[in-house]
Amino acid sequence: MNCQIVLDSLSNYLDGLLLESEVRLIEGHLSQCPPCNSVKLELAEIRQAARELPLHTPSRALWTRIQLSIEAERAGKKQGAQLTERPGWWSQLMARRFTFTFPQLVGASAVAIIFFTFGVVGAYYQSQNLGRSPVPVVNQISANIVLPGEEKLKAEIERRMSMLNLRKASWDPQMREMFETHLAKIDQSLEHCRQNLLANPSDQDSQQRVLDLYQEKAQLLEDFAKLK
Amino acid sequence: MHLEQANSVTVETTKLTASDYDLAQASARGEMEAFEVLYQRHHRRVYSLCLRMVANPTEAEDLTQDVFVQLFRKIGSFRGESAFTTWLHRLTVNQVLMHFRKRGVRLEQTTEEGEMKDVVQRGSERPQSMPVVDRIALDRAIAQLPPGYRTVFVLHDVEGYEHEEIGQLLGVSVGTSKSQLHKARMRLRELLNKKV
Repeated sequence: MNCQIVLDSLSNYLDGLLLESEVRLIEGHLSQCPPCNSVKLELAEIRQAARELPLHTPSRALWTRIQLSIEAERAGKKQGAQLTERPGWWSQLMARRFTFTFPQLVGASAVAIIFFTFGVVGAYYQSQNLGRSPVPVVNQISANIVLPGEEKLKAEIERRMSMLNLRKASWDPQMREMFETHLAKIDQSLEHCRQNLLANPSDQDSQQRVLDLYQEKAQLLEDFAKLK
Repeated sequence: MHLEQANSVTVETTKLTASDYDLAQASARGEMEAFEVLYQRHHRRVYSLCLRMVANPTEAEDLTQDVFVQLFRKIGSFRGESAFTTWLHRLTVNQVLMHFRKRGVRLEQTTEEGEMKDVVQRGSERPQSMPVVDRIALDRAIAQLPPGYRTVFVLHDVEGYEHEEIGQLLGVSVGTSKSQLHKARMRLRELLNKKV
């Protein structure tokens, strides 16, 4: 048996796909041919190492993108189903005929007057307190949550963006499209995470995701700035 | 208040310890928390498989996203007859192959230069030339393989598919799959020896 035939059969030999007679011939050759035996050992190592390769981790923003995509799909389906299945609550309400007795009308008017009076009095007291108490300022702060390090990241992103804007004109359309798509994906995820954070300002996971997304955006800008 | 907190902790713990099948059933009912647990359990394997097959991190992320969106659509059809991981990996492989077809990648191609000769490199006669395969170097070398070799190698040697299954998935004969695998291993050996 010559070396080329043995080399061609090594993978099948290692995978146990040869007949017993073929195995004997190959093993006979390998025991007398160090170069072929060396190739066999190397292929066996590659085969073994392939089963123990490390796992890779995608960016943290990926789950947010998947969630957004699924939610958008579900919202689309729901809207489609509502359009085809039955009329909305407003049209159902408008289609109904209502008849009231005189006492019912008097009762409803009394309730409306009571609510109106409480509303006016409440609004007056609130406007009186507004000048003295700092409550609305607190609300304003919670609506504009600033995370530690966020301002610095935003400033860095702005700096990189203005530098990149100058170079964007020289990019080919494909590259520009790729850049815009990635940027839009990150901004979309960022918007989603920001909304989550506003709904629950103490959620540490949302806080971390927002910061991760800013970092991802800064990295994207840096990567594209390196391209010629 | 305390009771509510305790309940939510119990629900969270139950989800984390629940089987893939139970989580799949809950996801099919629209429970996103259950689907998130499934994602956390399997996303690294799915992403790694995509990355090894396409050799591009951005494309691999986009594919992983497509896989999980597709998984959410189809999860109700998982009946638990096979292992969830097997089912998910089949879904992933199909998604990657569809991506290749869309991009017009020819999987039957051999090398850029055509057929490759199986030659014994000088120096490789020494058994100590490649004593232990560095896993990171091997990962990098896989990324340098032509798409056809890479796909068969990843499916067979990394993911453990049989030649018959690979043949069915790629629409090639068992013989072609075996030959592509052997050429992939020989090319990897060459690439790894160059590094030494």
